[in-house]
Amino acid sequence: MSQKNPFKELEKSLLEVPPEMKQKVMSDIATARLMLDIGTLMTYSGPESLEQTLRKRRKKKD
Amino acid sequence: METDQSYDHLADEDLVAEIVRSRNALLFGVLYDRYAQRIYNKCYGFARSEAEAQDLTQDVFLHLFLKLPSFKGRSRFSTWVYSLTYNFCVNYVNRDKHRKMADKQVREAEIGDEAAYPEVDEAEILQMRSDKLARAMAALEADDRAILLLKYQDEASVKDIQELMDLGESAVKMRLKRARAKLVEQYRKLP
Repeated sequence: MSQKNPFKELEKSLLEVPPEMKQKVMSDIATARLMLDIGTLMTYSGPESLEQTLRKRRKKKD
Repeated sequence: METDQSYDHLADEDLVAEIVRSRNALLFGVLYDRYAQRIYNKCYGFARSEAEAQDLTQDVFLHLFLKLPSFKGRSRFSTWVYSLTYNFCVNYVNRDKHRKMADKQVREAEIGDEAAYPEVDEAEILQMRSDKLARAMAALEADDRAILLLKYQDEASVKDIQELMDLGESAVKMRLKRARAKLVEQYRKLP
């Protein structure tokens, strides 16, 4: 598999990530961290609720 | 956005342990820098546009942050991240089909139809032309695409895939066999 793998060839022309992406991701992470620290969502379904909340918030912004 | 360069030398696994221990959101930026391009391009492979790929990527990174504590080091971190990315993308693509990858019972039941798919020589796949392979892959179901990418692009072993997808060995082999057969079928249709 090491000599010439066409699946690896597919990765040779990668798209560049939009530069503003990191800011958006880090903003989500900061919010997630804050909410986890506050501990209000530390139930068994906390992470799922958090993802849904952040997604809804982003969609409203768009 | 700047991140602390003193962590650049750390192996992924050590960096993740530090992020989980300290819950330092800025350290996550180092991980972002290492994986953003690969994750973005993997998401693009399942999306219909660059805008959709950007949304998916953003969601994958949030999901990754929340799931980091569940990384136990049973596979390489990169394999784990790509598996998480594919799982997220497949669930996104199939969100209206009620065909979530997490449904283990349904997937285990698939073992029964093994005879319906011919055995494909792996060498035939590895001799494919990459431009045609890309088109054949695009024609596959998202979950078939995901398992082929994990195996042949990310070099996950059958054992890794068992662990990552919470499947038995026979189920993984069956899914790989089926995905290879479908890939060859699509590839042969192309001019």
